Amino acid sequence: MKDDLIFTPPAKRHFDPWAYVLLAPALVLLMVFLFLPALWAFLTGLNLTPDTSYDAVFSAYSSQLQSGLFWRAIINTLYFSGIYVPGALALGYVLARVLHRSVAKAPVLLLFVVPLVVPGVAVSFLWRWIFSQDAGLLNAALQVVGLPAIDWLGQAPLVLPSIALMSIWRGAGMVAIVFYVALRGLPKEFEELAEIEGACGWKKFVYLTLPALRPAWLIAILLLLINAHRVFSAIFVMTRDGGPANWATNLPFLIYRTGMRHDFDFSGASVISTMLCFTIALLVVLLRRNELSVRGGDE
Amino acid sequence: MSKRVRATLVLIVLAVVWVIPLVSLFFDAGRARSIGASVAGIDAHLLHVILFSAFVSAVPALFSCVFGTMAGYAISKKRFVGRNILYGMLLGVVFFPPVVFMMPLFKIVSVLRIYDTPLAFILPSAVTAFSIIYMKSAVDRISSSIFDAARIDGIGELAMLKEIVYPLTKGPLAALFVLQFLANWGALAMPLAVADSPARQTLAVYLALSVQKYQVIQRQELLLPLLLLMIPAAAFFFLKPIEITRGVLRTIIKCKDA
Repeated sequence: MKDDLIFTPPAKRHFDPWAYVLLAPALVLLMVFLFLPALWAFLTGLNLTPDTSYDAVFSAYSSQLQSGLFWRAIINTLYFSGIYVPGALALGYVLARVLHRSVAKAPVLLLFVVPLVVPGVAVSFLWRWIFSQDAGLLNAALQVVGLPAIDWLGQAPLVLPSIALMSIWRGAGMVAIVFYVALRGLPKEFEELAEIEGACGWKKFVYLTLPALRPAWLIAILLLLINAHRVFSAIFVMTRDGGPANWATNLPFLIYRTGMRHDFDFSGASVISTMLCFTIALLVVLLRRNELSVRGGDE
Repeated sequence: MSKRVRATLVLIVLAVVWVIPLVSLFFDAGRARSIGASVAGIDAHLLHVILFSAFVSAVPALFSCVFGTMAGYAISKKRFVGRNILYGMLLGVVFFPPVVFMMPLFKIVSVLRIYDTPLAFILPSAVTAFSIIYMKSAVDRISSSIFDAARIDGIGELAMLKEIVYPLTKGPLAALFVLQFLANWGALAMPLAVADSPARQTLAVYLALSVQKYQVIQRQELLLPLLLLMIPAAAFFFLKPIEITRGVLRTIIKCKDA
């Protein structure tokens, strides 16, 4: 009986009114400044005047779906993702691999985190200067090799790849962290086993590393995809109003343009916001279905 | 050459390439001089912008540490109706681009008649979804048995926060303050939504709007604001950056210990 008293596990925590007291300040602020305004925005996207027919409720949605700029923004977002996701993924993986093998690990990894910590406006400013046609670092480098200068941010099809290049520089550090942690989580014998079994180069990558790091690949891809749907300050700072012929207008920038700048079309912007948020929420659900194995110790 | 040495050499080259974009602008004698000149002759407006930015970045960051800890502790250690729904919503909101909240935020600050006032900067950032789930994951790492023992000793909930949660999460709290400060300091969409007068410009807005206005960015007078916008990021590296990175990773990604 005495033993029972000592070893009884703590009672299953049940409802505790204190939870609401502790949550109160956060919940009130979130309600007033986040959830209710977001709900208002969502409802603004629907046409809910009492006498409208069932079809008319979604009129703002159908008018967006018929808008050329909306599809342009979707294509631009996909175009951007198509360059940014594979680019940052490959570079980040290489970075993690090299880091994992080299002498100084974690402190050097931090160097690649700097671009993530510096504000997006500052980073975009720096890169706009780098990309500039007459005084930019990139064109100066091209001229040393004997190539002609390129107007990186002034030509329609080149704007997004240029911004993607900057974003790859920014995002690779994040991917490197994910892969670095995943590589450390692998058992030590892993590499030795691969060599004993005679696996090398591509074979080792395809049959061993790739399957063993599967959660890390999925997590990295999903994080990058989510990021690709969030790019805003780079477009704001590096282009003039969404780039030549709207070639840099992605979904976030279109929301800003529609709702806050050109015609204050709140319902139009709400419709795009709603669709964008649903897409991101879906990606987040997929993201949380994967688990990263982390090994403790001297990270 | 051994694999290890080769990897280190590749790493050094990559590191140099990575740093170039960050420092390229300031490695020019003429530009360094012009930054010096702009510091000497700093105009009243820019000075105001810097102080205002620091104020509306630090105050909400402090509040979000307090409210985030309270809410994070509740979500981590208590069971209540709607807990999982709340946590799921917060996790989603963390990843939403700030742009989608511009219009709703503009609407609510107008309704509350605080548009273009410092309150419009402070209140919406006084608690963030990130601060809550970050502190939740920090409190998750404190064993529940400590709280059970304290409860048996008759300690109240607020004392629990002060005597157990606060001392055991000092590291994550300092990190959270820096992360939230930097987020507010560099934010673009949110300050654009809640104010429009020059007196209510943050440094990021000031710089972004200057670029929009001139379109030519090779202007010496923009170098000082740019440098100032970048400098606070250094705070991240003076704390324990590796631990912060790990904490953020554990907050947004599901991790299991191998």
